[in-house]
Amino acid sequence: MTADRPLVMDGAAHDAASLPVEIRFDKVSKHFRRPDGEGTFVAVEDVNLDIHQGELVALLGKAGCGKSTLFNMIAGLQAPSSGAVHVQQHDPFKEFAALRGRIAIVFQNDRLLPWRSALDNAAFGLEMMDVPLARRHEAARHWLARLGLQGHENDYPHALSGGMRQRVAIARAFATDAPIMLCDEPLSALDEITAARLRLEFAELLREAGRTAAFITHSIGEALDIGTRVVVLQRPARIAYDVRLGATPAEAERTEVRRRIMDVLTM
Amino acid sequence: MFGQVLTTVARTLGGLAGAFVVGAILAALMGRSALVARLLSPMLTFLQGIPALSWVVFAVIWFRGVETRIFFIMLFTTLPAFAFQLLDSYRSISKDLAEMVVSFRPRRWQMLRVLVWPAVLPGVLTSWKANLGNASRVVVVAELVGATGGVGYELLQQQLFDMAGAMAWTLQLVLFVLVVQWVISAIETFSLRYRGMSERSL
Ligand SMILES: Nc1ncnc2c1ncn2[C@@H]1O[C@H](COP(=O)(O)OP(=O)(O)O)[C@@H](O)[C@H]1O
Ligand SMILES: [Mg+2]
Repeated sequence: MTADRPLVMDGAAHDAASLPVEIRFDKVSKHFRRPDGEGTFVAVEDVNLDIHQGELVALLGKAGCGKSTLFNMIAGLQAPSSGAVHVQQHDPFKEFAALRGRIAIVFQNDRLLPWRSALDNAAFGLEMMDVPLARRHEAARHWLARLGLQGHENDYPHALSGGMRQRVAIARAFATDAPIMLCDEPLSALDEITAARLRLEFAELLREAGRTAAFITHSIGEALDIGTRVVVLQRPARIAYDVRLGATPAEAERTEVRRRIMDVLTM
Repeated sequence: MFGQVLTTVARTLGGLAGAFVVGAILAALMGRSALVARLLSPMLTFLQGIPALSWVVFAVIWFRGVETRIFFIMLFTTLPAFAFQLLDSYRSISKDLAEMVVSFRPRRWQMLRVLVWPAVLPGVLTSWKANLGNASRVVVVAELVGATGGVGYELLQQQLFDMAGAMAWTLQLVLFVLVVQWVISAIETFSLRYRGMSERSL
């Protein structure tokens, strides 16, 4: 553990000059009613987490440990059972309209509207924000081109490959220019080669835009490559390990962090 | 001559349009509330079991005007199927897509326009095609409520076994039904072209 860059447990301490908090979990728990009606199932338990502006937080954890549930609460798709979630000082579930255009999500699968062309899918987020047609098409065209989809603007999703569809979904998120980005294993549905190629571009895009992002991954390598911070969750979602990385972490630090992550994940 | 067929076709489409609107409202209510669905669904099933001829009798007892009676009969004979079919389309909207759309925090009408309408459209067109066939059979019975025009009335005039006349009226009505079916199919082909086709059929 290096002295100048402490390994932070449970977000307890922060850099003194840290930027504003964009996403805050305050003692958040989430229970689901069991399908047989017998009691409840704890998916998230007492999570405290502050994500600051500009942080790229990688969320690691075994399948079913509540990562997607955390995202759904940030996105306002689900309300916490107890505790509070705040995104830019707003309650994402109750203040539904207040966060319009502030959060963009790349889901695990592409979720393109099958009746829309690639262009209109990429422009979809902007359309929900009432951006005029010409401007949203311009932005969508720009992002499709950046993701290597020039010439496919008028294709319907059924005519695109899985990798291309996921690129459209990524374009849809970036085109909104939302300050907060959530990515739920955005590359996991793709074959290894496509994923590897897209991973680099994706990391680049996230970094250059200077936005706040949380992304779920099951690859420790991906977490260390893309993230400026890694949060490891245990089942039910509790934070087991939370570490900030330097801009270019030294090899020794990476090895140490990797070892600690492995320890927690295999606990 | 053609006028009689057009009258009947207008009554058919008018009744279907009414049933579609009411059916869509009921489907929306049932789709949004499990309680309403539990309440309405058995009632609609019950209505569905009532024969067309019973509706004719009810219409004669309850209403005076001929067009009102016919509309009433057409409405109630096609309403349950419309409501069920539309509810089914509404319920089969992909949860994944709905979540994606909601994550962009749309207003209610935006949600309807960009997700609900395009997602239920195939089901809407199918329900029109299915109910059109049913309605064209019911409408001639409905025209027995005292109509002085329309295919049902004309058929009644042929009851002294003028086979050629009966056939002529029947064929004309069937022809119009086919034309409307064709129009719906054309709309279907155009609006669902995004689906693409496999080169070999199953
Ligand atoms: N809507 C729901 N109803 C009931 N249980 C759920 C629901 N959503 C998630 N769960 C449960 O909560 C746990 C966490 O799910 P999830 O957040 O999807 O995990 P992860 O994304 O980490 O794989 C899982 O065990 C899952 O079965
Ligand atoms: Mg998940």
